[in-house]
Amino acid sequence: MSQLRQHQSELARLDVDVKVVTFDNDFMAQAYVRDTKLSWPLLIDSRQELYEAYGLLRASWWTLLNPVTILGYLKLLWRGVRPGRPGSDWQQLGGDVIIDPAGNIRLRYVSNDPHDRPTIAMILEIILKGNAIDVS
Amino acid sequence: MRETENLFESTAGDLKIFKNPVRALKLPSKMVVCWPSEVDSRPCNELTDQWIVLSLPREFLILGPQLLFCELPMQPALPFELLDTLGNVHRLSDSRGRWLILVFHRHLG
Repeated sequence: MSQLRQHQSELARLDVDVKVVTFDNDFMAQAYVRDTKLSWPLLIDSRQELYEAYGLLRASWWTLLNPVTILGYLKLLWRGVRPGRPGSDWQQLGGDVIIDPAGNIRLRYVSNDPHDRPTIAMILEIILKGNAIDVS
Repeated sequence: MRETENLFESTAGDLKIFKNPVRALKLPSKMVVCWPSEVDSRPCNELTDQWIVLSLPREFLILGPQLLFCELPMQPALPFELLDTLGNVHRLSDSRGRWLILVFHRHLG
């Protein structure tokens, strides 16, 4: 998300619509938008139906607490990002889906752990070149 | 093409199977199947979900795992209708004609 936000102006220039999806409740979602000054719409999928439909994974406890994941959190802390309190579902992982102007999926990236996200380079490559990837 | 062949454990016709899981692609438990795009037009969904299919120009096969971009049959995006934090309704169809990135967040903590 932070990588995407750093390239927000470039994505706007490319006329890319970005929508963030959460399963947390409206109260938490509004607090998140306020605290992070998120300018993209934050959609609430409280029943996690879209998460499930795109095959996004649920993490095991080992995935969430293994040394690699903890190292990822330490890196965030080092960069000044303070992890907050967990929301309603600790185990639901995220992912990213890129849909082309014709309505076809060009990327379905299913995160394998909390820090696993496509790079901004990958995202821009897909949009600029119109390639398709399935990383699940 | 000997170097290319060494990347693969086995071949079956034009199908080539990588020797090792492709960690560069964040696919630690999956095998990657590649075949030259110019000789095979079978839809990816004929293969099991546990395989990732890359259809690549033959000359790219020697590059192996670092090649992320490939041709896949287009799958239509899943329709949705969700409210945002301002109470606005968002639908897939709202973004027709534009690129859309859906960023699925983990918990918001």
